[in-house]
Amino acid sequence: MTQNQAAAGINAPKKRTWLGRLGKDLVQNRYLYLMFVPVLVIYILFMYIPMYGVIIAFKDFNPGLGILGSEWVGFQHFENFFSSYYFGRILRNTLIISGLSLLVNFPAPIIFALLLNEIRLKRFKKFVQSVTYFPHFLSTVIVCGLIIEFCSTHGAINQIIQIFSPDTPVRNLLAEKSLFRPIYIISGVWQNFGWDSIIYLAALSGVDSSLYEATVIDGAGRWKQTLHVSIPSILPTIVIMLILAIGGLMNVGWEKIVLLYSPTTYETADVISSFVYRRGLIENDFSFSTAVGLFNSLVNFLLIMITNRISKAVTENSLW
Amino acid sequence: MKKTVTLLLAAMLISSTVLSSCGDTPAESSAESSAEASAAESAGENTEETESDGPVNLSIWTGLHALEAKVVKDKSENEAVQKFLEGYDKEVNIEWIHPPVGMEQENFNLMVTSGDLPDIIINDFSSYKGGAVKAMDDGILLDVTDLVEEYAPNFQKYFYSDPDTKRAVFSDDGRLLSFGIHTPTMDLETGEPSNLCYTGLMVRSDLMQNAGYTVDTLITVDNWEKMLTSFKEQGVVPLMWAASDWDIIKPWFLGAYGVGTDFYLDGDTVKFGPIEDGYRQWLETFARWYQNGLIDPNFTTYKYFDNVQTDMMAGKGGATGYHIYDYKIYHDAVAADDPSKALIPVRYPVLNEGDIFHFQDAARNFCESPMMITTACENPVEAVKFIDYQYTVDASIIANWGIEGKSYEIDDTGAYHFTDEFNSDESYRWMYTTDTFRGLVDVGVQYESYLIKEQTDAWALWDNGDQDAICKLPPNGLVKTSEESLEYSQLMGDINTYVSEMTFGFIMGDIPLSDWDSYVQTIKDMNIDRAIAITQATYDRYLAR
Repeated sequence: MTQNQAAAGINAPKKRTWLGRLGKDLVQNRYLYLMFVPVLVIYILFMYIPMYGVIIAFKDFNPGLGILGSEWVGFQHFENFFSSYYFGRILRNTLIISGLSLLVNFPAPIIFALLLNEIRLKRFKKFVQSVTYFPHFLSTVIVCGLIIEFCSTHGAINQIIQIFSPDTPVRNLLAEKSLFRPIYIISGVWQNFGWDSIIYLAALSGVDSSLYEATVIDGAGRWKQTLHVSIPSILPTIVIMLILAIGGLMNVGWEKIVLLYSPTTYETADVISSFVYRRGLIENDFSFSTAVGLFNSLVNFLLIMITNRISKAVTENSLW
Repeated sequence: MKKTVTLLLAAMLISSTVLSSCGDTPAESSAESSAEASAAESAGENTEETESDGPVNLSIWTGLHALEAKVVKDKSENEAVQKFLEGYDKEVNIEWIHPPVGMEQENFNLMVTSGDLPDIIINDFSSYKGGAVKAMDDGILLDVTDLVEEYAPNFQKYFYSDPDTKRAVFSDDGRLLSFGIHTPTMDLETGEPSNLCYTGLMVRSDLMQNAGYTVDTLITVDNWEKMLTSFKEQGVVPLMWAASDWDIIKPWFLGAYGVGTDFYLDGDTVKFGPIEDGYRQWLETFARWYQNGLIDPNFTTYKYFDNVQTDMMAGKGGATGYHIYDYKIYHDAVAADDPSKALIPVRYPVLNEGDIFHFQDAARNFCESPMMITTACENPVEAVKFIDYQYTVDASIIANWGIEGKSYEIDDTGAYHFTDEFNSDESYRWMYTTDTFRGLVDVGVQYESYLIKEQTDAWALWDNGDQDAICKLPPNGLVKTSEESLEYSQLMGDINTYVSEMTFGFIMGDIPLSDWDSYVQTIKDMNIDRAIAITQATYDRYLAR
């Protein structure tokens, strides 16, 4: 090879353009891409294209005139929403209930998965798993019916309290402002921790057993093993789940709240979704609820971006 | 071998998912096929002659009841409908277009926005922004006011003769909105509306006897208090109340103080109940009752069906509000075996003996299911005449009662009764009688459905007589303009929340009644006067119709 040829880099690998590389990849993995095409179509048709409908948040939507034909009202629905007498309260309740739920609902499945991981008796482990999964499948209505009965003046909880301290007055627990959030959150944990632990159990089962052996050689007991092997191994999963959970902070589902609350507990129980639900009963206002939904989504999006940034900086895991 | 088995399994899996998603319920598939059929037919139909020579072809869109869809694929299979059509003096071919059960709203929206309209739509257009009036302006519905004037004498006989009834069917700007609706339940022969009330207060008869009261003596709120105190001593929960669910206690006791639960009429003035003095007096009474344990402490969370009714059937409650239709469940479970435990209906309470109660719940569901003629109808004159036919007594008997011998019989006194097969087989109702084309609603049908003594007693007791002079509730059919509607919902969203919170707080004693004035002031600051003004405006427009 002459010096000129070397300088020209004739034998250097041929540099392809991005499009070229994409083409080659498409051909090489064509079956994978083919499997992916229907999903892509569904996403575009049913999730991206309908997004334009969000403009009804800025219009006075009339089903008869359609989305394009309805007239523009600008930010009127947002002003309507923010200037409500109760706006501060419902925002506060939404964030508090969401935040507390996160605080309690998030660690519980992790701890449970770690504990379950320690069990050697296979039969017992499977039994416990099935029993804890079961509440997830109960519908909200059934669970709330149970809660109402248990919290009533002749319900199980009061009866138990009466056994231990017969002097405390019997009262309907769901009528107490201060008790609403604990009842809501604890019943939520009970219902979901079993099912949510699946993903952590799956991650734990993927941990290389030679890591555990290495720590045993170094003299670690079970606790140290958990701390130094199990948790760091599932840390990526934990971080991803955390980011996703924070992205749902503004979404407190209306169904459970509406079934459990009453005017005596509005102070702590009334959230954005239940308030909009009552508003919707007065007049069917599509635009208003879309505006509120848009507001919720924007806040959630902001939160997810922030959390992702933080997590990228603190741990090396992030969604993107 | 393994490969073939895997391939077979995969094929079965895919085909089962695909087929199950394609599988329709009979109503859906028939709706699709009839929609296709009607689309093909209407595409094939050219201009219909306005002269009524040949048969009348109409396409009608209406929803099917979930139970109905199990019995008939579309209404042409209904024998009452067939007989009804035979009775008409011209030949009528109807294409029934039924949306899939449960998807009526979506289907309606689609139909209206796509512009692919049938001749008649049975829907009141309340979900269409701006209502039926706007639909007429937008060119979807036909304004039939003049056609009805000319071609529908029967409809006019029942709806135009009474000024309030006439107001109810017209819009504020003088257009006929509700052509084709059912009349209120009435006596077919005399034409008198029957004003039946279906909800009210019911009390355990044995406990009431022990307390020393009868239906005639238990009239005043004071007597109620004494009776409930006695109930408490007898060991039951005196008054059960599903306050957060379906509240059928508050309107009656509040009505005793002359005030409605929200907007009501005092003469021709609209007033808002929760800021009136009568509301304060009611709150005092109920707060005192709650203090003394006369009201169920679970009233904030108890639901009407799940909790109140179950507790009543278990014998735990003394008195509560009931719908007489639901009373059947109680009767079959409890009272049939032990008549002393029956719940007997009592009059709506008043403050002093001799007072008249003004807020009874007379069945005032009016203007339901109007038959709207669309701009796609090529022969509106014939359509109007046809719809008018349902307001004749003969046609109504077919719609209400069905086929003589099969679904009803006439006894020696000339009274109509449903046959035993009809009473035992649910499907008879959907096969041999019809709600569509039931222009005149015969009260006799109601009498046949409510056979338990307590139910018929309830009608007698809860109806105070001359409704027009007494009832202070605002009439149905008040219409707001779209600006009013926006403002109203914003104001009332906050006000309703505040009122219900404060009401519960006052009753449970968390908020002292001395805070009444600041409570009223807060509501005024929330601009209740504007909401009252809006409602007053809608009522004034109603009077001017």
